[in-house]
Amino acid sequence: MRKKAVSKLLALGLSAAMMVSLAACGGKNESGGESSGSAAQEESGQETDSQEEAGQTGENVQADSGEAEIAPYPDEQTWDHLDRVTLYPFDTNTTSGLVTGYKADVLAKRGLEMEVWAYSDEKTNAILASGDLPDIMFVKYDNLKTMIEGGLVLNLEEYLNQMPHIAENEQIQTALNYTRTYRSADTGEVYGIPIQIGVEEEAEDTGRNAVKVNWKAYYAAGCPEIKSVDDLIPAMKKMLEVMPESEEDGTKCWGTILNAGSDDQYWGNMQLWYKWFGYEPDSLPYLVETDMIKGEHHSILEENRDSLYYKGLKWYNECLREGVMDPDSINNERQVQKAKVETSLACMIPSGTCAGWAGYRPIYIPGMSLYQENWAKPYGADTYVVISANTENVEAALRAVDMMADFDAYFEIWCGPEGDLWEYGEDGLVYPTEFGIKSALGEETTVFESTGEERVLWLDNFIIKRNFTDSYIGPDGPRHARGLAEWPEVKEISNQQDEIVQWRETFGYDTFVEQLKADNAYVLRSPLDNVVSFCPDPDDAMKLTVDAVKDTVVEASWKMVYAKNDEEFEGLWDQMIKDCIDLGAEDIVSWRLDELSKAKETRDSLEAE
Amino acid sequence: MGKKMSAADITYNVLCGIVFAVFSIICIFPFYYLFICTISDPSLVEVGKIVFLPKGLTLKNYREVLRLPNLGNSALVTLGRTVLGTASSLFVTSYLAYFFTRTEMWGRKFWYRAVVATMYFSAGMIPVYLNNKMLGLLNSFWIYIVPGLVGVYNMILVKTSMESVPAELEESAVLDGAGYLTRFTKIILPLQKPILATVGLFTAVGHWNDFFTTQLYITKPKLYTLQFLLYEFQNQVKNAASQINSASEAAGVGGSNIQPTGIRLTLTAIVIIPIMLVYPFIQKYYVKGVMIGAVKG
Repeated sequence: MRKKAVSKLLALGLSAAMMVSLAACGGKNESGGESSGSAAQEESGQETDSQEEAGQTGENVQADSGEAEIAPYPDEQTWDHLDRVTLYPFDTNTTSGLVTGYKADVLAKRGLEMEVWAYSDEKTNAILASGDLPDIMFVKYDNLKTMIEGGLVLNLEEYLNQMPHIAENEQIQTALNYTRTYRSADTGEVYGIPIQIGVEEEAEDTGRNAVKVNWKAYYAAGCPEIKSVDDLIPAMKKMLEVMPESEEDGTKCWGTILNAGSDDQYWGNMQLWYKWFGYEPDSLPYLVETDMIKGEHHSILEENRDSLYYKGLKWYNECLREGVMDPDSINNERQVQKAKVETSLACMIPSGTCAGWAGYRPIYIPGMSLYQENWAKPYGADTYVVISANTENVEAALRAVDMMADFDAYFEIWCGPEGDLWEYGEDGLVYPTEFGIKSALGEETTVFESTGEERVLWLDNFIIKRNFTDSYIGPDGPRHARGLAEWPEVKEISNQQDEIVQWRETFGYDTFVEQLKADNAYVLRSPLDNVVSFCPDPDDAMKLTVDAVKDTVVEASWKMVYAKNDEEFEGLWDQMIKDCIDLGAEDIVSWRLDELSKAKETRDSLEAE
Repeated sequence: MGKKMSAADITYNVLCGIVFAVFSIICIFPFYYLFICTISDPSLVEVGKIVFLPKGLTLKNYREVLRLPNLGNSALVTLGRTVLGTASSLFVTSYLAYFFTRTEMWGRKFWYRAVVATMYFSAGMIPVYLNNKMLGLLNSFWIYIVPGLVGVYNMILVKTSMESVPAELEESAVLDGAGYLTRFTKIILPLQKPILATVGLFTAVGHWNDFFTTQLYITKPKLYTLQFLLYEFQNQVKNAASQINSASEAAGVGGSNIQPTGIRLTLTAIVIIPIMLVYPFIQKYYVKGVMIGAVKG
């Protein structure tokens, strides 16, 4: 009896302790405002105090230097010691650990040494919850909002003039105005600086936004005329007759190859099909098509068999039934498709998600308009560089952030130290070395001779995104920053490669863009550029419906590709539409169209300012 | 003289042989396939042209992986945590199990249930992270040891095994004046070899394969484990291959020939080889140990 009473008392005590701790968590959440977890709230109280101190320090510095005065460029100053900053990168491309080698010299030029933390999604959640932030990190806006409210990040408004590359760059200033209004958790101040700010520049071709052909096979087949998308399948057949197996490694060739590893947001194989027609697939998860050329959005449910989605599936099905599609496509991971297309060159016309690069050349289908693939954004991507409010050395962190807006630093990271891939000529201009030219052409490895280091992806997401550096000038002007492949001296040689010469002779133009312009088929700026940037993500409840619709569409799409006859195909299409409507897709479509319309108005009003 | 086999016996033996041979091949083939892919041309591996025999023999995948900076240090860290973590976990877990076999332990049933309850409920990743941070384990080697000292499932196995030891063995030691620790180390523990080998294997494999702890709690490269280093390398190769191949377009040249699938398989091979070497030595304890732990009395 006594033992039972003691057991009951102990159990009651344990329950009471659990209830008290639950109540304590809830109490702290209510008093601290919105936040993610009680510990984050505990930290945020401390961080708010630190932030206020930092702000006061900033104000003092500001008062000393004068509000309008912009600090000098860090890379033009002499540093007697290096300040260490910690960085949490954007993705796994940036190697973790203390930066060494020539990249350390790039940092040392700015008085810095950098310790990079290893990136992972789990670690991101852990450090955000614990408040154990590195000095600098990249965060998406959802997290930034929480961090601003929790006082975890430094208010950069007072420090902008201490980042000269940011303060003097008009594009960045425009993006910061947008950030203040829409991405500051209603504070009206800058807490995070967006990345990938820039305006797309015209290139020699449209990137992935064009039909490309395996040039060797196409040329050997006599350059069959392609007047419409309907001519692609006969062209593939002719190409397969002359090249049934890859010359690289004997892999069996196919007209086109798909993959099943890119279906995380929508049926990924629609990507290139859409781009061929000047569409973008970014609203496909919501069953909305975006015509970038005409500047229109369409609902797939309403368009039904007039939609580009239907036509794409029909084309893929026809490819399979005509025997020109890899029948193993549904088993291909993305890497396998990539290997078949890009390494083995076993694909005649790349589609799906793999555009095909070396060995493939774009062809123009009359009547179709194409636009430049857009990576830079005037207001930046929805990811931000922030500085921790607990940073011990704010000035060093500011210099590091400033470096990410310095395209000279980007050049130095990508092109390496002077003397390896490039050098100064007697006239003080930048020229490629012989080794540099050979490396760019793939005849040598991209290992820097002076240091033995390999050029690998590192901190690829800078604040500013553009092609050219500032200070490294060649005879034709500022040098291309991302390697030597686009430098005129390299292009002069690479443009003499057989396939490029043959392409010119076949079509009579120097570049693909020139050919498009001749037919008035080229669009650099779309009426819908950057509209998607202003669209919100669906809420959790809607997200469930979106995911359910996606699963339905992906499964049905694959079945339609492998349909044995038209009757089966049409039946599957009708069933897919019905299933989507039953799941509530019409509400999703309606919501998305509404948000796109509002987003366009927001973008227009920002541009008007 | 041997017994003469009838035709039916021979047929039966042959059929059995065929069936078991097929199953054996099914079990062994994945390891064989893994190995031949690591020594074949990476581009052929990528397009699935390697099936039964290696093609384009090369060791470049191994050379790439073995050239990783910090590989030696991370291997030492992994070895250290495996050995130290396994030994300390075995001792602490078995000692705790011993406590729970002592009827005189105060609140034995309550504490046992409280410990077992932690198998069913977890506070989640964030509270665990904060707890470890509070204990000062971030960026410390002890993050690999301390949180994993007690494995509840392992403790249950050991406890069940210990309960099969006759009480008379301990009673005689008690009469001779032996304390709990002496009885545990000199009488009980030596009799638990099978279960300790089993539990030790589970624990050692867990330590060897774990990279999540490093990913979450460690930012200093000198404390990276082998698994984490290889995981990071694999991610970088995967991302670099996709980027480099795209950037090669303008120059009309091929991209990197270090393909992610080949790297992934090479990493797998490097990581499982030590375990495969150790396992045969403790296999004899393994089955026996699992059965002892599972069946009470």
